Amino acid sequence: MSSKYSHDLISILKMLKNIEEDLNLIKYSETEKKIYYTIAWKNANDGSCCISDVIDESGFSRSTVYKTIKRFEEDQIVKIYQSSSDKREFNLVLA
Amino acid sequence: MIHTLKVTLTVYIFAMLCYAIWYPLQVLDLANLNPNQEWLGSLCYLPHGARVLMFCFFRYYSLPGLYLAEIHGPTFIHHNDYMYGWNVAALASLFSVVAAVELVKWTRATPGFFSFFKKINFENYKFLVLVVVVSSLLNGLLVNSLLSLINSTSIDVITVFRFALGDLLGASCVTLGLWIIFKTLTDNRLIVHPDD
Repeated sequence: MSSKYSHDLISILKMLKNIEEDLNLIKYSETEKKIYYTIAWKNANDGSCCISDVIDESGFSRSTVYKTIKRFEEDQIVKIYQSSSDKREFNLVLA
Repeated sequence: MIHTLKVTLTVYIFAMLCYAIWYPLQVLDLANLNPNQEWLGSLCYLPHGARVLMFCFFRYYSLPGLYLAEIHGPTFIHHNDYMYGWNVAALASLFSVVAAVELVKWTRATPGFFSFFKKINFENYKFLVLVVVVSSLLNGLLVNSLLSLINSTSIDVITVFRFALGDLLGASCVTLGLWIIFKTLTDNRLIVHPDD
């Protein structure tokens, strides 16, 4: 694709993104969304998801993942259960 | 040249898509309010959204594609619903968008002196809203004046108002529709945000 053509198309996407930002409909950041998708993906594929899985799969730091999961828990979109096999680990389930 | 061709093709397909979505919705009469299927006019004219969006982002390169769609859209869909002289009126429709963009530019939306070659940064969608409002009003006036001249008939104020409102709502619906598609695609990770 020519750069001018792509640039014009990207301008349309940026305009749509600006509408979204001004309407203030984005509650979660891109990082938070990625962590949520990782939890959903892990649960769907493996049937379970623990915090270590999220850290490994998403590539974000432990503190970022913990902070985000805490926020999800406060918003009641993720539930945290202690793992029965490993008492130090917590399983994450979508609410 | 390749850029012009790509833009013409993109603009033509997008504008024809707007016609193809708009017309069935226009004649769909779920509540059976119009049993004789008479042409009542449109209060949500989606093709105006194509005119505004495509001209704002692809500028003068979009005009051939837009004019082709203005001629082919009504011909392919249902030409009897359009008055005689629509091919000429379509030029006025396009002129209303061009004039609206140049007017917005003239209000110093672009830095420095006024120039036809400068482009407005429509990533700031408020400029787009201004263009939609101004072009809708201009289109209502220009097209109806031209059609009444060509057909030697008088067109009442209500029709002019319906044109303006239809264009305004139509352009808003197209932008809203695109935004919903964009939001769905980004949320499903099928495309990424342009800044990411």
